[in-house]
Amino acid sequence: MRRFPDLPIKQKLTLISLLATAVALVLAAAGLVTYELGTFKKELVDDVASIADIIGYNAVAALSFNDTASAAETLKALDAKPHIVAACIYDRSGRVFATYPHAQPAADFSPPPAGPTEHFGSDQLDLFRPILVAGENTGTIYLRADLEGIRAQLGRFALILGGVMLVSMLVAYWIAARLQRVISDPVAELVAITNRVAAEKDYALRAVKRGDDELGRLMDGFNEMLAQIQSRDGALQMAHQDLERRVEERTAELRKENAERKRAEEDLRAKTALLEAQMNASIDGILVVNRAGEKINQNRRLIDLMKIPGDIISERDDRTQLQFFVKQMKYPDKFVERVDYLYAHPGESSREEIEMQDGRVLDRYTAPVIGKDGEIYGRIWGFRDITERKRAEETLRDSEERFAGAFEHAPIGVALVSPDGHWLRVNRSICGLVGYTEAELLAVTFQDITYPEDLAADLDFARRLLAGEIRSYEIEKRYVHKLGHLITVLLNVSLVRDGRDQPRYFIAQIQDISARKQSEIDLQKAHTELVEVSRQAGMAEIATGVLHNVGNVLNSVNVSATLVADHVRHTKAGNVSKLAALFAEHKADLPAFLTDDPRGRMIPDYLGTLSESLTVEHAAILRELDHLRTNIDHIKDIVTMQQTYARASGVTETVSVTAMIEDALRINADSLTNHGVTLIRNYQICPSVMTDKHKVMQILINLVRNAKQACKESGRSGKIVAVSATSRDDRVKIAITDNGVGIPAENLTRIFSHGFTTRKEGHGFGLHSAALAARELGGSLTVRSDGPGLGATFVLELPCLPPPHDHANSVR
Amino acid sequence: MLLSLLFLGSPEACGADAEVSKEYQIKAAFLYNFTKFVEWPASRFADGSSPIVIAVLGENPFGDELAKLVKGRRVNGREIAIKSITDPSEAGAVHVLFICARNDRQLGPVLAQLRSGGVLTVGESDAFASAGGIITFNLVEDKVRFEINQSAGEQAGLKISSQLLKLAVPARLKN
Repeated sequence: MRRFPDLPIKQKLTLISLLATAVALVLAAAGLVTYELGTFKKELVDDVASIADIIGYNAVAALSFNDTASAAETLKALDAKPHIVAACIYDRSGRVFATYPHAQPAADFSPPPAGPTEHFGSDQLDLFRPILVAGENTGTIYLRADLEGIRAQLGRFALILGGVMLVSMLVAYWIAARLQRVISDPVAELVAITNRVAAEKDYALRAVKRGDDELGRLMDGFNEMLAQIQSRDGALQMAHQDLERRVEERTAELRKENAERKRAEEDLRAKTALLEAQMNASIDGILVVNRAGEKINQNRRLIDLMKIPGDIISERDDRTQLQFFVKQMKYPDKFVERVDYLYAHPGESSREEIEMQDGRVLDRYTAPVIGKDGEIYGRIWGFRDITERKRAEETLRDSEERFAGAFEHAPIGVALVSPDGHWLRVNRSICGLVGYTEAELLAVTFQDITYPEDLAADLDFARRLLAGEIRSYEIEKRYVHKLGHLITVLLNVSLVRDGRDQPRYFIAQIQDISARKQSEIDLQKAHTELVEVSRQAGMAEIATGVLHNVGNVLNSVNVSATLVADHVRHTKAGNVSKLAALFAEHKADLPAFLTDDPRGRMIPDYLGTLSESLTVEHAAILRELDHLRTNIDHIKDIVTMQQTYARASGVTETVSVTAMIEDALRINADSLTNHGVTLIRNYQICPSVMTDKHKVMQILINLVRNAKQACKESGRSGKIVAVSATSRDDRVKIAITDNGVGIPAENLTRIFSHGFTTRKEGHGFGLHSAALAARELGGSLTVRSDGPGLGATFVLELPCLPPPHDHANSVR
Repeated sequence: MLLSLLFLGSPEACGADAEVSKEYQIKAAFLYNFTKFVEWPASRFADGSSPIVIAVLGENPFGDELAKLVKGRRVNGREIAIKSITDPSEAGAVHVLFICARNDRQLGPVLAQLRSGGVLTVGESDAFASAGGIITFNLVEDKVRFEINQSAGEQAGLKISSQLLKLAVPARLKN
């Protein structure tokens, strides 16, 4: 739907005409309807009132004489008036006397008003009229009429009105559509011309005028406007052509200029890139500042050197950066003063070293930036970290001084000697050694003061050194003292070459070994004595070991002896004598006693039990005695072993490895059982070994005992000692593992030392002597433990054949 | 119907009781109302404002009910006057004459005298009716009704309204 302002004038005019007509018609219709409605109402009231009068008149007698039936009869006549829907007669006092329809209850009717009234409701007319007879008010009649009649009338009326309006509108439209052309046609023509002018740009067009009204004048104005535009357009056209030509010329110029500029820019970019690269590749920190004190450029190195944080880097003013930098210096005031001076004198260059608080030393260089025309644009600053160089210089100086000192004051003689043998520098020690002063020495060669017999060897070595065959040499030689006697020295010579590998000088270290020679002899003697002492100490160690081992076995002996004593003490053998006494008492009637007496009858059974018990006892005692004997044999062996040591040689025999392990376990069997230790055996088939059985036994007993002890100390449940035997490459490995207290890492290395023990009552000989014995047998004893509480494993490794006999080895 | 119930009363002969019965109250009202539906010859009134005279002959069963009823009311612009008469000769000067049933023995001479005298005679007994009385009260279903002797009326020179005639109980049904 188009908005009204956008509609063409044609339609606008038509619409306006129609709208005016419609409004006029509607207003007229409204007036008519209002009037007609009033008329209809008045007619209805008249009609109903006349009916009320007639009915009232007819009912007056019935009312007067209280005849309701007659009154109802009278009202019945209303059947002929369909638009009267209800009626009622009231008596003088206002009470309902009769109703219509007859069945209508009296309560439906409201009390009558005083005097005649009529009232229009939404769909009914209520009318009251008094009933008069002989001039006296006798009652009231009420009629209710519906408005169907009025409605029907109004409907007809509306139909007629609608028809009239429709026809009127059609006629009005027909007239408007014709008449609007008087206005719209000239306007449309004007619009058409405007469109053509706009589209064709033909300002020669003119509108044709029809009359002299406003439209006519509008066309005159329009034509005049066109004429003006036409003339201006011509001028404009010419100006435009001129302008275009000029623009073209200027464009060509600009294009040329642009190309030139682009070339210049590219040049500049390349130069800048080169400059940047140059700056950034420099090991110097470089800063360029213009005359206004603004940073123009600075390289990465500078930022690193000055440790400039990011926010200051982007700062344009150099002052902030300068302040930050100066704070890091040892002497900032001096520097600031210098900088101020340089900025005040832009033409000057200068160089200085700056010491930083962090110990760095910077070499600062500055020069003005001067253009080709001699104009000063600003200043360039260069900073180089020369800390390393400074430090190297200092170190060199230090080391030179130190070297000089060391050289001069060295307790041994040090000298620099030229390749031809001239002393170049000598220290105090040499002078003292040979009895010459420094000046005297520098005047001669080393050949001059060497004892002639030793010269040839020295010269030969020197030649080989110069030839590069050797790097240094050391010989003993003799010098002739200024006083004439000989001095024996140890000479150590090396050669210093220059950058071109040419020999520069010898460095000779000369030590007087006359005194050392003597002490060497003394030392030899002391050593011999020491060896003897050591051997004796070793013997003592062996004796202690023997006692220790005997002590161990004696423990078992003691246990066995105690057990035997217990058995004997509690033996049932005593009961035999009781039996004998019983028999003696009944000697006379023995057969009767044995058969009749209740006690006598039990004797045979008792004898059986007793003999069984005695047999068990007997076996136990024999077993313990057996152990006892084994232990005593072991003691005997240990003692024999000591004798073997005394002879410094063991008796080697071929023995079974497992038999030895079993013997060692048996010796410890009782204490293992007592402490609830579970034994695990894991033997591979091992070859028999040729070894000193008693030493091996001594070691194994010790190890088993230690394992048991470790388990006991841990106090844990499930105590286990595992023994394994393996063989490989003619060597046998016996490992004894426990899950006891374990060994702290720091003790693993000390555990085999003499006197080391972790046990209160231990004497620390066990492991030490065991390790010694293992080495003597050509084997080794090692330990492994993951730490306290994690158990330990001792491994005894033995060769299948004994090592070659060597007395000295076995002692050491 | 409501009204008829109100008018219900035990049929009682007219008497001079202090308390007037319901029946006679109704009959009094009817007497008054008759004046509205009857037109007397113009000669019966001295002028346009002369009163209509209602008279009770002999014994008066209404007490002063009639007087109260008509007080201040006008019928066609005329006041209503109530009179009690004992002498039948006085009856010619009234407009409505009520004769109580107890006065039946005077009926014959009185009615004969008034036959063409322009007086509306009202009675309440069969004897009255048969003696030529114009309007006779009777009771139908305990309600006060009346019958009209139309010819007697015409003879007396009275115009009785058709509305009144319509309400009257036809005389034949009575006999």
